[in-house]
Amino acid sequence: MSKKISEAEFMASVLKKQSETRSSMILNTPPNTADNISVSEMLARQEDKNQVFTNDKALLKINLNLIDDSPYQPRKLYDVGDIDDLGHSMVAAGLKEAIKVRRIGDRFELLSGHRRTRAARSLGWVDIDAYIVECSDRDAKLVTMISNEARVNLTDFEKGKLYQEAIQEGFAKNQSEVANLFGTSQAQASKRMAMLKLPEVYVAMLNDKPKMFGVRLSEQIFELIKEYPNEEKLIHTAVMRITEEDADQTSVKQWFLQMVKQKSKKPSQKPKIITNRNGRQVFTAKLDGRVITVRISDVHVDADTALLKVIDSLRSVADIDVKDE
Amino acid sequence: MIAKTFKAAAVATLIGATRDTVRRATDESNLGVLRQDTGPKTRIYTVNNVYDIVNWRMSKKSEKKAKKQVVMTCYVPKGGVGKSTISANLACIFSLLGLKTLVIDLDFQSNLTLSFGYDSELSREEAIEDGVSIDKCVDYHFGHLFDQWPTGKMPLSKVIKKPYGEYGPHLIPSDVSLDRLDTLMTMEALQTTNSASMVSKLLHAGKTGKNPDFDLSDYDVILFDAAPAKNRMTRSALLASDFVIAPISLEKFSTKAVSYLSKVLEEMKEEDGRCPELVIIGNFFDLNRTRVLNQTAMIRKTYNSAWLDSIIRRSEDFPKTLSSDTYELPLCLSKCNSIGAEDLRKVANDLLVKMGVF
Repeated sequence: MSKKISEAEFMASVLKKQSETRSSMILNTPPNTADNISVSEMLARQEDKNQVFTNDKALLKINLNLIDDSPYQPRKLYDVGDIDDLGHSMVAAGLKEAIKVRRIGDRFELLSGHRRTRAARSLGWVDIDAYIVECSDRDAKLVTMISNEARVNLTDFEKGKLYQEAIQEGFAKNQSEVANLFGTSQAQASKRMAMLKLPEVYVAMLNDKPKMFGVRLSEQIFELIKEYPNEEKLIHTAVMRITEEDADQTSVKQWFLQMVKQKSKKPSQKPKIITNRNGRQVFTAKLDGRVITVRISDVHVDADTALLKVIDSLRSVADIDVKDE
Repeated sequence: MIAKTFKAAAVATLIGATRDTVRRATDESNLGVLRQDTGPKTRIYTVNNVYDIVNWRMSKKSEKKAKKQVVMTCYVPKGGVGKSTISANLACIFSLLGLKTLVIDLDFQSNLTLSFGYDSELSREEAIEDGVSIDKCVDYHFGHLFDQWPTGKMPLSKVIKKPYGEYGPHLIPSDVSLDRLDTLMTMEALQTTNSASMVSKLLHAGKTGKNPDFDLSDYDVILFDAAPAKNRMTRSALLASDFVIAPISLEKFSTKAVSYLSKVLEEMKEEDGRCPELVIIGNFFDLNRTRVLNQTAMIRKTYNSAWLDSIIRRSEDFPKTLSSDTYELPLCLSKCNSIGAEDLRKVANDLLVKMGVF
């Protein structure tokens, strides 16, 4: 039995249907342009690409078993967390940018995409999108260098080594050319390369753990060595605190200066004897570095009262300090 | 053809000043404005006179100056929505505001070229025969500015037209052979990877002002009028642009076209790291057609930030067709008191603010 509906109800249903179909129409919206690169930067980037990849590129799927690391890869460490994160994004969105490889016999050598390749392996992928680029050893080296530098997480020390290598290989003549090649400032390039000239102990340490410190601490070390040429051992201890005691990198200089100040004071003084009116020994007090020890010699003295008194007088000293600040 | 002339009152409207200011400027600038032969001998201004006065005022006073140079393209992949009309009028108004403006016709149909009074069909012989100035012929177009142009590159000064004198808008005209530039770009694409940036490269070289044959450093606004086709020329111009101006016509519904354009921009951004910012201009709006206006509500919602608040109302003032027989100045000049002209001035001003020029 068909139910009759009023004119108004009919209109309402038509309108409803119309609004549904209307909202289901998908309109593309324009992208955000706030983070546009400038025309000159775009042209510069294309120029770079043209210089390196003069030959045609071919996009293929390549079996991950056939891909080897580049011998020119300066990165020694791969953060497991980073690779995991990258893997997650690759699962979600696929591989956004194909890796680049070159052919070596039956196998392929990575030019760029060391992290992506690791992530793909950890995801259990069989193959990966790759551009095969024909290029010489020298070009391969340059591509690996530049693409690595531009990407994330190379430490200052690793960058310094990379710059040094670029100069040795003749890709750049001096620091200003290095800066141009890697798109950094000359000051930064110079500071990073200076890290290689740190005393051998530090260089060995950084070779082992490149993340240990960056240019800022390196500069401080140079400063300290210059200012306190006889304190190399103490400087080293100060730096080592970062790894051994998990101390803050920024605290190294402060800690060192404090230690030097302490050393310059007379080492452990004789204990001072405090007597009462009868000349009997009641307390001894001793300064050892920055530690004051008060010993109660007289059994009749109430230790709690004595402590309160000590605290009282310390308070007044503390206040003197405040005024000075 | 009798050239259109203006009286002081009209000039005042055009340059946004009082009649007295115009008179004073005319006297002080000594530009040699003519007076009527008969009757009360009022001053009569040619279009060139108007732009000369604008320039004189710019050099004299602290008039608004451009904060930056912008490159823009008027484009939407749909014909008949008013691209060329808007481009021509915007170029004229920008110049009236004292901005050095270069407008480039990228459509081989040459409608924009025609709207500035140049006939791309006219040969030199015909011009001489008809007693028309040879300057009205189109010898060269945008393609002739490229190194790769097969018959050789031309200096900008040979290509450029100055329809209303040095201080009016400058035009790079087009003719039917301009589509060869598209072919050229396709050839480039087969050889190099970056044919899309050909226009960017050209403009970039021009902006530095180092090449005396191709110096764009003086221009405040560079405006491309693109063809509705989705070709390489358009893409290349878009990539070089800071803004893309998309007129949406209510008479020819163009929602899909804007959606498509957005997609193109998205791809461009992904591929090249940049794309122009979209600005939508409502064109031919009829405020009485409420039902159509309701439909645009959705577009306005979707493209909220791209929508320019001022619109161009539908009016009979706009000429129906562009033809060489009855050449008329762009509307903003020919009927400066009409609704259409008023809307265009408002759109131009809002656009300049949105683009950060003013």
